Amino acid sequence: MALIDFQNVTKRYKTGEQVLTDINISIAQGEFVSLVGASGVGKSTLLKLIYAEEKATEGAVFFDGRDLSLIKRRVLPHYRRNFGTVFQDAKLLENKTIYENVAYTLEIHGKSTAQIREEVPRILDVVGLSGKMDKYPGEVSGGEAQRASLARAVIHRPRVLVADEPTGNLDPEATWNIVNLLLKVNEFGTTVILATHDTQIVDQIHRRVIVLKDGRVTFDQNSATYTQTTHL
Amino acid sequence: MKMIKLMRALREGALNFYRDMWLTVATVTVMVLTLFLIGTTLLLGFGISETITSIEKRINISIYFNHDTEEETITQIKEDLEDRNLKEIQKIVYISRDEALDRMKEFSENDPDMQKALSLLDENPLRDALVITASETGDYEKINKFFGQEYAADIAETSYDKSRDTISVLRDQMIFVRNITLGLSLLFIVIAVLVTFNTIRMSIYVHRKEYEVMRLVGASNLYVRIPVVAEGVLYGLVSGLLTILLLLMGLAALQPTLAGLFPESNNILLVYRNSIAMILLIIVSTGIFLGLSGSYIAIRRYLER
Repeated sequence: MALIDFQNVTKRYKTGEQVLTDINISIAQGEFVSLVGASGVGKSTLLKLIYAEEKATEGAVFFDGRDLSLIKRRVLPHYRRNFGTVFQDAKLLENKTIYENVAYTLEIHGKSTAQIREEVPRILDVVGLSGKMDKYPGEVSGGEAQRASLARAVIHRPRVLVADEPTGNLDPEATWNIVNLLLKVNEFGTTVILATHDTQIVDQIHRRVIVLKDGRVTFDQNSATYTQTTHL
Repeated sequence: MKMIKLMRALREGALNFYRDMWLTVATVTVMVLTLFLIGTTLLLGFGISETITSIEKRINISIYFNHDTEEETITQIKEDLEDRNLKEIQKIVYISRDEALDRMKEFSENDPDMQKALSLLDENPLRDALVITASETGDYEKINKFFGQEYAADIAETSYDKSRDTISVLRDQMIFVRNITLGLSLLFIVIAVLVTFNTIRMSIYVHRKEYEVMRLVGASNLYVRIPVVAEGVLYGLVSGLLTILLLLMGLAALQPTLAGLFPESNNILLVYRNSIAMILLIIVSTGIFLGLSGSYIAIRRYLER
């Protein structure tokens, strides 16, 4: 069964603007999906529908067989714990250190202090930030902040990692750092959905590619490159 | 919510209070100013109230009896009145003419002319009197009338006729001042509440993006709200305590000037001996209430809807 299932989903904002039209996508547990398209094409909206920040206007989005439009407001925070999110801006809490930012996720999950003290340094080591634990977000580079953000997104072992243009602000080296980390996360079984307009990355990854254009899916194929889509 | 999460959320609030120092300083400054305004008005109001009470305590009327009225008759009247327990009368003191003369001599110790005049008397011209203190200033007229009707035969005169105008003017003025202060306090409190609410709203607005992030990583509304409200309570508590410090320092500084107004107390704080605890409590609890409700309301719009 699909983990995430879009059935005839259309999304219109209150302004009347229609961003997504008749979307049908199925994503299985453990997949790595690249969501490609120019900016403003509806990638972020599609992701928001998945972690229930927005609701479908028509059609339905299912997660693990559950219709997201039926999720109660009260349990939304619990539903979100299935996800880790990374954005173009790292969205770290400015008045917390890198360590505290990552620990925050576990604190919310009610993990014990001992567990937090053990797991946070471990994940920060994985993303190569062991030496920067006590720095504040303002004191590290963009790439480092993004890696911290990634560490925060995966420390609670979410089922799905949603990355919305995570490399948008980064130089090539930092970009590959992040991409490699995303692949590593995927190896451990986490479903990764990467929205990007960086076609070079997509070609390198060579996994499932979904192309969005004017709010519609125009291409959806496994083990694909973006270059292929331009020949359609 | 589990205990450990509650503790974490509270610690979070305290941490924000400390780490966002400039924001804390800005918010606390505004809150101290408004609480100071409220405190000053309260002190003024209570000061006036205490003064009114102390003046009212000093007001009394004397009922003077005829020379031929026996002392027993007068004490009988006093006892009768005390037995009847009239609500208008607070206190009755009997002062015999001899006692009155002694007092007069005592008072004029430093006044040679008066002493001379007194020594020339071969008979005590004063009258036996009952000195009545009323429960309220407005009751004197009633009391005076009452004596006129019930004991007309024995009474020579009362001091009411002489002091009537003074009593009523004083009373009207006191009520006027009291009402003005009350009106001003209400106005100031409304202003203070609005200013404080807006300040807290702004300090929360500064962090609006963080609330979004917290929700995104799975924090419940409660978990986002508790630190914010805890921080608001801390703003209120610290502001309240600082305001009290400022007010007490202000009173101490004004002491030499103000002491002249209250000749019977050489310490200005004595004027507030009955109300100071209440005033301080009002300031701190107003601060805490403003911080709590302000942050509770302001955070609402940034929570999951």
